[in-house]
Amino acid sequence: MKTRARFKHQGFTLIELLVVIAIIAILIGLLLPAVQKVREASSRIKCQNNLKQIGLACHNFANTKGVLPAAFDPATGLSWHVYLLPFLEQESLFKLFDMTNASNSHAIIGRNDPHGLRKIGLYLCPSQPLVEQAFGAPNNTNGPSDLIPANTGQPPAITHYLGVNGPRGANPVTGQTYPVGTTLHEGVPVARTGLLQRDGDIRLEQVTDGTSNTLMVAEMSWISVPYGTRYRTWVRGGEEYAGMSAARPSFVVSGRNITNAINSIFTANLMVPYNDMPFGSMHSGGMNSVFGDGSVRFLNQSLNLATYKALASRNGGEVTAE
Amino acid sequence: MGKAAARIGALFFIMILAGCGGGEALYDVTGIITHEGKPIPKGLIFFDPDPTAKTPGSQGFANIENGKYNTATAGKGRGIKGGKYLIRIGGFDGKEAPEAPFGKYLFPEHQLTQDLPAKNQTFDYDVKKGPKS
Repeated sequence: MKTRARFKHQGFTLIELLVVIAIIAILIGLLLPAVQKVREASSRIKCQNNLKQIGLACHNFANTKGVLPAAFDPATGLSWHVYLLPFLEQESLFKLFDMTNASNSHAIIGRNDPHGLRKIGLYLCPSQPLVEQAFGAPNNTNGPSDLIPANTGQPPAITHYLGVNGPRGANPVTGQTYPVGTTLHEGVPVARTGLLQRDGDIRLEQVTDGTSNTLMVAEMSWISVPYGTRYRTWVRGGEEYAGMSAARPSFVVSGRNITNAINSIFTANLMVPYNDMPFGSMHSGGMNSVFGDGSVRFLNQSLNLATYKALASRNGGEVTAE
Repeated sequence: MGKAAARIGALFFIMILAGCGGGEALYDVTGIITHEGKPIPKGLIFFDPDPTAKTPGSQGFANIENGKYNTATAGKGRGIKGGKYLIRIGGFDGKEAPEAPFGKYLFPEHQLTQDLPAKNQTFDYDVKKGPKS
């Protein structure tokens, strides 16, 4: 009798056990989403850090050469991502690139395309797991011009940060259309009033809207499942065809126009003309961007479209105070 | 004691409900887009606020599927605030091709300006053939 009473006191009842399990379940339920949130927050900060480095590299480039980097170099077809390498402590990688000018040099297989297989962590947003060019239907690519390394069967690495070509649409101050190039790609020209242009002839003094009011580089790291994206290798900047000039680039691979809002319709985005494909990211509610003064800002997707376009032009004379 | 617990519970419930509110006030646009009388198989519609008319807000947009669109479709649409809009319509044949999940263009991007009131509404439109040459 005595032993039995002691035994009764030592054990747990079913109710106690259930209560404890319930409390643990609630705690797990509360903590797990928090862990996910913290992970996303850290990815966002890493992404902002990447953009900060890119912004500083652009300024160091401008200090050395007197002008901001070109969106792409028509002589080599390489993008600004390549030309920034020496300013991102990647001098030795930069030296591997063949910069000699040759006609159609961008399409020479085995010349600069194998370097595209290297993943550059600084050019990738950690919130987006897709870091390689998508292959296979309906993401078929066009062969050599896409700088796909031949006979490797390996897709090249992409970048999630692209230059801002400038805005397309009407300037609210003058009521006139923002200047654009004269040749079309998929029916759409390249905007001409951004900071990173085909010829790279933009000096910081020419940014009359103020460098702190002008977008330089922004994120394009959204993904459209099941279609992948039209991401291209990070080394590819653009191609030139006969008759093209600074005023008439038909498309830029390493930059996009500001025509559509941040994070607009994901799947359908693939059907937006290439030059007009909207910027956007996997961060909830907007995207990271770096301005002409090197400051990194998170732009909300509900940002006024007119303000967003005003931020993209370097000399529109718009008032951008929100 | 039981009453106090019930009151605390009710208060908690109200606070949780209140927390779900807020955000931007956007109005949805829905309708049918046709091309020469036939519904557009697949397409895009954008509502750009007219900057010269000081229309506020970001861009409204929606996917068009079998002529129908609705800016309220989660993840594929966003509503508008109301005002004067530049509406841009892209129509495709819906036959999937490389780099073109919606297929080929049926017509060059069609543009029109339209006043849209600040309320949920229906906007139907027919894209006609361009002017005859």
